[in-house]
Order: sequence, then C-alpha cells, then structure tokens
Amino acid sequence: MMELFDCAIIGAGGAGLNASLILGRSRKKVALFDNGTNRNRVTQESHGFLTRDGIKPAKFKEVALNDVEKYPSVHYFQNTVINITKQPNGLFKIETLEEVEYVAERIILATGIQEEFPSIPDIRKYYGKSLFSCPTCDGWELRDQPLIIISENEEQTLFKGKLVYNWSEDLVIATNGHELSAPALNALERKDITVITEPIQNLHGVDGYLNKIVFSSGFEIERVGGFIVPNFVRPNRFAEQLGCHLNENGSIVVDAAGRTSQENVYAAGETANLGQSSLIVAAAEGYKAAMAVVFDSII
Amino acid sequence: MSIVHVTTKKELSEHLKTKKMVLLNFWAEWCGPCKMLAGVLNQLSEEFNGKIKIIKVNVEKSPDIAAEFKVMGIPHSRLIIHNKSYEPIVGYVPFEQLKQMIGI
Repeated sequence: MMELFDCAIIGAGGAGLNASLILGRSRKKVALFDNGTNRNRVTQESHGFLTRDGIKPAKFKEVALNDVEKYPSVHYFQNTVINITKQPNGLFKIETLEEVEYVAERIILATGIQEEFPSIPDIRKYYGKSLFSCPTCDGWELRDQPLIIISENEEQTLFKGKLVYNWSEDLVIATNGHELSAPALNALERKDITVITEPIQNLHGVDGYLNKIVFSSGFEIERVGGFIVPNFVRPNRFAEQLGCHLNENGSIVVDAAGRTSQENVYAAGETANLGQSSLIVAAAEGYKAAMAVVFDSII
Repeated sequence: MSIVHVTTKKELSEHLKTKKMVLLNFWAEWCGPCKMLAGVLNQLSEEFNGKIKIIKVNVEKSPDIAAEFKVMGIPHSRLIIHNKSYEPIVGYVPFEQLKQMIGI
C-alpha cells in the first residue's frame, strides 16, 4: 500500500534523531520531519554530551543523520509539518507546508521549544555567542568572568543569580525595568550581587561578543557575557490539536516513557517539558519514547 | 479529456501501452493538496490533450500500485515515457512549474 509509516517523528533535534535511530534499528518504518529550526543552531558549541563535549551543533546533526540514515526504514523529510489530525480509522494524517500529506500509525512530538526574549535591541545577536540561557551548558566557558544576568522574572532572577554564582562571583543582575522584592534584593546582596532595575537601552559588542551594557539613564557597565532568562514556548499546537492533556505549567502530561494521554501519541525532549534541558537529556527521552513505540506495537 | 482512473495493475499496464507521455498521479479523498493538483491536471489534460495521458490512482483503493511506486506521501506524480519512470514529483505543483518539470 501507500507507505503507512509506523511512526512519524516531528522534529529532528536530539530527541527526534535518537528516536529515529532506535526505531530504525527496530525495523520500524519512520518518517522523520525536519524544518531545521533546532534551538541550538545559534550556539557555537554544545556541551555536556559525553564523548561529544564541545561539538558544533551542525556537526552533531550531521553525525546524527549519518547514524540514522544507515537504517533503510527511516525516511528523512525536510518538510515543515503544519497539521496532524487523527482520522476516523485511527491513523494520523500529517500535512506539510510543502503540500504533501503522509499517514502514520503513531506520532512522536519532538519539536522542541523556542525562546521569547525580553525586549532589548539586538539581543538575538548575542544569544548563543556570549549570552546563554543554560548555566550548566555554558557556564564553564564564562567562569570567573564579569557576567550579567538579564531576567525580568523574580523567581528566576533569584535562582539564576545563585546558580551562576557557582561559575563567577563577579555578577550583575539586570531586571530591565522590573522591580525586585526586598527579600530577593537582600538575598542577592548577601552574595554581593549588584542588581540594576532600570531598563536596558542597548547592548554593545563585536560579532555577538558582548562588552558593554548601556542602561536608559546612560549608565554603562562592562560585561563579557552572561545569561538571559527567556520565556519558552512550544512552536506549534500539535499537542493541543491532538487532545493531549497538559500540566498547569503548559508542559505535556507524559509517563516516564513519553506516552501522552492520547493513544499512539508520544512526546519527547524539550517540547514535552516546555523547558530547557540539554542535548543528551533530549536524546535520552527520544530513546525512551522510541522504546515505548516499539513495546506498544507488540500485538 | 485524457484522464483515466485505474484501480488494478493490469489496467495500469494496459494504459501504459501508449506513445503519449504519461503522468501517473497518486491521490486520496482526504488529501487537500491532491484536490488542488487535480485542477492543475485537468488544465494540463485540456491544453495538451494529444500529448499527455494522465492516469490517476486512488491510494486507498489501489494500495498495491502505490506500494509498487514507493509512494510515501501524496500527491505523488510520476512522469512515464515509453514505460520509463522518472523521479517522483511530490506535493502540489502549480501549472507552469509542472509544465516545466515534465518538459511539455
């Protein structure tokens, strides 16, 4: 018949690629959809993946695709999925922006998350080069340097302040016009962390490498890098469209293997958690979701 | 109009015995882009009636033919000239572009 895929994997980041690898090795017919919007594409190096520490994200993807393409039942489509609907026969129809439609028995949602940044001119130029969102991923390279944390969210400000202190004690927190409560200010003061609440006017640097932050009053401070606290959003509404239950914080309800509340729909990686994790964690979740697909396929 | 619908491999092989170029098109009722492409195929058939024969295969009714042509997504179209099958054209393609792709 027309190729009925055992599983369509939406997204080719760590989760989707590792799921493809396991399903390919398990002789499942897989459609792997990739629209090339991997969140790590803006960063220079990816850290913390054992045997791959410091690898360039593009290289990681190239190596991963080479691994996956060894398995002939995995088909790689550089298409953007725009709709997934469950048909009356229980199969899923996958529609793409390229106006091709596919049919699959199971779906793994692995589309990751995207960042929404505070409204600061040119902030994306610096993101991934000298400003990062994940201290455990990129803190080492910034150790003992004069750093800034840009955070508009008090809870995160306090947490990130204390966390980044682990890598550098020369810290300034900029809240970009948001006030902090007295207890939060006190907690940060105890660690000698300076807090600047006035709005940021602009960032200065060369080729994405920060050297100075200018505030609305004209006050300037020299910093070589640091961390931003973005809002994370899912880049699509597939989970909602498919009727997957969500947690209060918007993450997808999944079991330990990535099964959602909807039969034959799985979620893996950052899209499930609606928060940043790391390449190796996402890849592991993709592995687990693929195992669940294989186990659930046993008749 | 030279558009035919086939459901069996036997019918298909009969229809492939032609001197015209053939555009084999795989589609399904539930496929939106297939409906859009159907309009393009009608136009192609009207304008190039003597040159091209369009053969349509519903993937739900003829899964064996779809499997033979390794159809993974639809719409999926193949140019066939003297029984030689060329690379698939996958997805909706506007009229002018399709004309160029099949060299008509």
